[in-house]
Amino acid sequence: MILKTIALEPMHGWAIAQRIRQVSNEVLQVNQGALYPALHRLEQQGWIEAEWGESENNRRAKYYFLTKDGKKYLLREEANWDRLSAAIGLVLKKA
Amino acid sequence: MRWIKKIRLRARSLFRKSSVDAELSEELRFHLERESAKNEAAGMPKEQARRAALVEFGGTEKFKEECRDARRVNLLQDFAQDVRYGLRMLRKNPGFTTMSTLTLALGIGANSAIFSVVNAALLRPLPYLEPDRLLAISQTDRTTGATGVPVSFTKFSAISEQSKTLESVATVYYTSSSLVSDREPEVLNAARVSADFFRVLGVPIARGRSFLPEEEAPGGADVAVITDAFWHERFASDPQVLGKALLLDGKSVIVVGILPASFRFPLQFPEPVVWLPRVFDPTFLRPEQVHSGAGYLGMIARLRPGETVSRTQAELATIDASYRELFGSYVDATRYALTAAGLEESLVGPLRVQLVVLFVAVCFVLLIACTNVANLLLARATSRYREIGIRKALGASRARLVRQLLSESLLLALGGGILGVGLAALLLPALRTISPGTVPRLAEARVDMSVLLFSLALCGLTGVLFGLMPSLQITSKELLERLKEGSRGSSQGGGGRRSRSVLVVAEIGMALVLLTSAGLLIDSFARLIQVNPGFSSRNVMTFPMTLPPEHYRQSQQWEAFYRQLLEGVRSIPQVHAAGVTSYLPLAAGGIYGFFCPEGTACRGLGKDPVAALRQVSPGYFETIQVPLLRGRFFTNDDKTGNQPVAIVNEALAKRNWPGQNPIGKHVANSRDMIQREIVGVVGDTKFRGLSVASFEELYVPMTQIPARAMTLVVRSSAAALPLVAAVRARIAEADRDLPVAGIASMEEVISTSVAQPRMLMQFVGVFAGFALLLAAIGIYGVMAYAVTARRQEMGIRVALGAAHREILRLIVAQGMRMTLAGVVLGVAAALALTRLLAGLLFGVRAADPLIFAAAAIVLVAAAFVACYLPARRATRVDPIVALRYE
Repeated sequence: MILKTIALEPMHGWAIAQRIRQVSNEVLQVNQGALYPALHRLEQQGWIEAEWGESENNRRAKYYFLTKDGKKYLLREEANWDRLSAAIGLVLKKA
Repeated sequence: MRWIKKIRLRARSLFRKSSVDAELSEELRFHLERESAKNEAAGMPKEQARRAALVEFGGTEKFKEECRDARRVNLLQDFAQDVRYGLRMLRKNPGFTTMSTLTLALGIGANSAIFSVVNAALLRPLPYLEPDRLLAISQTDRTTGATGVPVSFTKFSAISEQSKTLESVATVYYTSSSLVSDREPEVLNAARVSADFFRVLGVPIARGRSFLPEEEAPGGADVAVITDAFWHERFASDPQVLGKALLLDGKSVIVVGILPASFRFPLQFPEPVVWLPRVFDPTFLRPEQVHSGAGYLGMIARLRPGETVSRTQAELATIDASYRELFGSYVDATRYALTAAGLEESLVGPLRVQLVVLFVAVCFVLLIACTNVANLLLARATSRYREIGIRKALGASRARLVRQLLSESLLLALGGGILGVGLAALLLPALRTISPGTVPRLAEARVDMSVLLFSLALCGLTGVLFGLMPSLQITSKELLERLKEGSRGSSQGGGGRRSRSVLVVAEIGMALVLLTSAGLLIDSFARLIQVNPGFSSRNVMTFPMTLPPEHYRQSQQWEAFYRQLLEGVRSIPQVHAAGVTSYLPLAAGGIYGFFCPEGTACRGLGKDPVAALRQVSPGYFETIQVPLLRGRFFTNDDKTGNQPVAIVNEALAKRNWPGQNPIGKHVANSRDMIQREIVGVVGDTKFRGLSVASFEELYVPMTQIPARAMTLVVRSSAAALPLVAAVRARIAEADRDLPVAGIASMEEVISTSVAQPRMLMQFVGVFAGFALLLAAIGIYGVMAYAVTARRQEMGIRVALGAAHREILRLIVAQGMRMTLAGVVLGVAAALALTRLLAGLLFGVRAADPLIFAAAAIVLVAAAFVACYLPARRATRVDPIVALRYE
């Protein structure tokens, strides 16, 4: 989900948290803090990279963006997810 | 490329920790600022907006820690931190640290020392080329089942001609040579070998060359290959030594080669220093004996690549069969069967059980040491509940806490290990001097790389072993729950106490196994040395000597020399009796012959009964006090030209003439068939070992069958040492170039013959002593702790009028319950494990109930003392103080 979110443009942590909340229609209720360990883990995996940049309100902020590997991984996971949800959909419809 | 990036990331997280941390803080701060700004924009007052942001975010510190975890640097960083912290903790508790480090050092040190011995003897391959292709070939007696019978020169020749599975074969026999030089005459350990002996072993000659084929032929040149050590010691490493001569056995022998410094020959102890060619003219056999199958050779062989021992064994059986057909009249044609075994196996095979026993024993000591340290850690744990609780409250995960506690125990183990290896390095030389020759390749045992690695692994293992349980215990939820309740309570750490009791029970069980084993070995050894050898060793000194063939060619000269020597020795005032014998009881060596007793049909060499043959002088039996049962001893009249006579031992008399008087009957050696009249029957003597049943013995007078190598035995009234000087002077009078080495009292000879069981007994005994001590300390620790923990309870009991006796009984009963549980466990384990010892015991069964009972009693007594001391302290509790104490 995080990967999908930053696939469009580099974002900083707070923005990612806002976006996820918006996109999920406030369904996903987790502590915002939990986002950061996840980000750092993804960075360690090499799927995202981080860079310090200027924020909207002229403060230094850490922007995350997707790496090549990250893109590949995202595509693969999306395909997987599509297949899985399609399958679930089929099962549910038939039932 | 990806992994480079990863490494860079991790390296950054690791080495630039502060800047990464600062970045992390800044990142989170930025998030919170934005969130509160958003909240403010939504109309919240500033303070409320900030709080809402914090609530929305969750615990900042917790997520920071998780971020660090995500970067995977924590493991390493924590480790460094743990080590630092651990060291600080250990320094703060010097008593605990010293106690546990010493305990562990003892355990690990003993383990490393024994491992170096096992490593040298069992694990390290023999220092030869492709040692797994090397075989030892010997014979098995088809009638008695005796193994390791030497091979004859004739059979060796048959094997070397016919074998197809063996690439090459070589033989060796061990001898000694007297060296005459500008120093005192001395005896060298020597070996005669077939020409390509070193090639079969795959040992290159460091300088010079090995033996040439012509030197192997009869009448070849007298040459020698010497060891590196001998070259250093005797020639001061003179590179010009090749071509120089040694005066060996009265002959000038040219040094042609020097073996490499790495060369070892563990098959013989002490290792030969001089190697000579030509195995076919031993000084102790007549040529016709050598050429008709007398066995005296050790044989090694190298398998062809791809061949196996079992195929060689099958081939040896066919060689045996054809040998029987071709040389049916030879001594070794029918009675003996060739046997092949791996060289390594033949060397250590008989000792494997001993080494395994030692190793198991020492592992038990280490386990007990670990148990003790675990106990100490558990005891200390209780005082650390608060610390651990606070750490946990601050967000440390259980795994993290266990890791921290484990690094402390690993530090302890490492400290113990370092001390232990030092201890092992000190122990090894001591071990070598205490029991030389008891374990093959003991001289090679040293603290080397593999021992260091083993000890390191041992440290890791023990660290986890004794550290894991306590750390799991302390960090368990249940205990932390109790922390919340507050530290008050009459019995702290119920769980901890239970696990400590379990540890003590296990410890007592293991100690009992060791005590029982030690008891069995000690009892067995005591029985062994109480065996009546059939002679008396009191005040008897022995002087082995060999007359060099160059100076003493004629057998009449040998006889004359010894007769003259005996006259000289008997003239020494303190000497009560003196004699010579070709083979001393319980010393190595001996020769066996076929003989034909009167009243049976002689069937010839190889088929007639076998007896140990010994030439003795008049006075020999009197000197070592072998009892005369019938007839008479030899006298000076039993000499060449007179009636050939013999004395037999009781075993031989009973076997061949049961119920009859053997005096006056005749017996003949199957080879020469000279009829000897039996003039006396003497008692049996233990010859090959105190635990070995007596064998048939046939004594003949030295004068009628002279021998060159004899041992002088002297019984005296005076102290041994001045006598030695006097006897030495007499020997020098008889021949000043004759070296005498290996002078020993008869007691020492007996003692050497039981060196191996003594070594095993001593070691297991010492280990059992450690075990007992450690187990007692373990019980003491637990009980002392329990008394402190129950101080309040004791105070109440005393206040309510409990008598001292009752308090004592209460505490001691608690300790004794553990002890008894341990004893039950230990007896069960010992019953299973002492079976290992069964083959090593003499005169005592592995499940001897007396020994088991004695070991249990010793242990229970020690445990009782260990319980009583803290219990007595409990009775001294002043109720007022105890109640106020909390």
